[in-house]
Amino acid sequence: MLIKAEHIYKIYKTNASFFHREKEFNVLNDISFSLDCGNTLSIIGESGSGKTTLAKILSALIPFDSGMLEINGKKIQSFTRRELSQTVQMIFQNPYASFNPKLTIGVSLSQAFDGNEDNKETVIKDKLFLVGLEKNILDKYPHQFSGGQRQRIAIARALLKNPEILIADEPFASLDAVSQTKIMDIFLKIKKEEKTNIIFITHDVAAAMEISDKILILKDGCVARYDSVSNIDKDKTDAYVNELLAATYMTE
Amino acid sequence: MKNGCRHLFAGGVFYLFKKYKSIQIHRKLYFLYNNKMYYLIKRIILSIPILFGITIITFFVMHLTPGKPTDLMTDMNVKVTAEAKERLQQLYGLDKPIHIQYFDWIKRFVCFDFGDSFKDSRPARNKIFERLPATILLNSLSLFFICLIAIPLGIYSAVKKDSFIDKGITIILFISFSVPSFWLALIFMILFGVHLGYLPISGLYSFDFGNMSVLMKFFDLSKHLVLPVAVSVITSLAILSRYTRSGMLDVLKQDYIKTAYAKGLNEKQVIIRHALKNALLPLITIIGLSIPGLIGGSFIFETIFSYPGIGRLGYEAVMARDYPVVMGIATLTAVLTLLGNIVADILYTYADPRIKYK
Repeated sequence: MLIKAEHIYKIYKTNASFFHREKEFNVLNDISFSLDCGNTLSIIGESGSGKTTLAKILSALIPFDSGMLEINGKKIQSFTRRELSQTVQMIFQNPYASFNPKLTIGVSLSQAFDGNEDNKETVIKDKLFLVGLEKNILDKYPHQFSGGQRQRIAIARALLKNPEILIADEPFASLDAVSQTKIMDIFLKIKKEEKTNIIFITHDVAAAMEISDKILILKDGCVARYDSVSNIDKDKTDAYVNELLAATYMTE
Repeated sequence: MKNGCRHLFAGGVFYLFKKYKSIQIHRKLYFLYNNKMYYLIKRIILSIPILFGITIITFFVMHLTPGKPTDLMTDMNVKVTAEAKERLQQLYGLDKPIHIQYFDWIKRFVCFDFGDSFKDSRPARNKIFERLPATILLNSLSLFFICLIAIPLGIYSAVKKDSFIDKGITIILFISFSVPSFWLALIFMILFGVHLGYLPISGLYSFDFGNMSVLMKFFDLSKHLVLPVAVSVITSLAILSRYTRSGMLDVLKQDYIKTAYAKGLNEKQVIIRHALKNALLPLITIIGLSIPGLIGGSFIFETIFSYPGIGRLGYEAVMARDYPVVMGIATLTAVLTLLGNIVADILYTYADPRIKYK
């Protein structure tokens, strides 16, 4: 089993001030799921349901308060930062904010490369080719690219570590329809060619149904449904799932 | 026929020469337009009216203050008659209408002549430039120590946000910011100069400075600088440090910092390579605007410490209504403020690849 998460809880606390007491928000309540090798999991839900928090916990960018999370049978807390970067990579929601504005794309990608220095140029070139970009972008700065291009570079950057798990946190959120389709094609290609396990976080149920094997539906920080795509498609008894699916069909 | 050919040849050469010349001029204009030099020239030209505005306001405000420069020389002397007072005013040109006085001053200023001091008839320019090295030394040392202490404090506070140390740093900085510099200067003088006797309380050199060896001179100079630099640094730490802290906090929230962690970089690498470079950007403005402070000096603690700098000269000139010296210092500070702004803007283009000027 690639990922095993059991009873994960996460609480955010607001800072106490002279006028306000400290407040607690239960962002994630008793989240349990697992992901097998070669499978793609989609985490869907409304805004504020805890999708991004769960993604950050899975990539160890923030800690969780209680529960157990294992990757390849090893507790996530026992990973070093480097080991973790070779196992899990994350693509962020906002392609405009995910690159250091002062570094060229070449420097950003070089920092992400971990292998033999002699192969660096070839590997970077291959990953850029995979996402449909040329090598000549390396001397440019992030602000010289469109949102779609930046998201492709972000995918290439994440793939440079050859991670076992790729977490894509709403990668289409700030992109136009054409760019969304191109990025979706890239994910399908990665799934097929690179054999990377993808955790796909999205509002878009249709996209999730197309790319995933399993779907985890979150509502107010709790698991509303966790099942395979085929079961969710067949079983229409859950009102909230039906509501989510209906919303997708309406937008279509 | 022969002459016709000659004319045709000469015409051709002239045409080619003109064409070549125009290409050269176009190339130069193109170079200027696409270069920071074009921006720099534009900014300098635009600064000239601002500078004139500043001189007009300073000149007129100064003349609106009660009392005249000649009052100090004549009021205490009962033998001075009204005619003698008038003659003195004529001598300094103070009897002319104020706008004529301003135009006279401008005429001299264009030739970098600020006029002669009313106090000792020495050129104001010389008096200012004599005091310049001492003020530059004091203020550049202060700025160096402020950056050296405030920036790391700000970074540490941001990285350890809301910790006990962060709160401690915040409280100490607010106290240092709230303390009046003249009060702190006096306390330090009493403590380190009078009670403990470790440090000199005024001036820049000891009496026997001329007879000292180079090493002793250095030591003597350093001893005299400790108190003014310490007061300046302590009272100015808060601004730079708080700017650094808030800049760092903004940057640390960005996705590219999370990306850097996801790349497998450790905290030190992320902070130095990714966060710091972006957080320090607003500090360019603050440091750029402190350039005039390097020269302008501090009127208060240069006077308290009897430090022979521009600040003390300015204070004495204001008290004596020494218009040429006051105008000289004000104009110098205005020029440096404008230059500081331009330097900060130019530095931004080097520090941030997203910024381009046209």
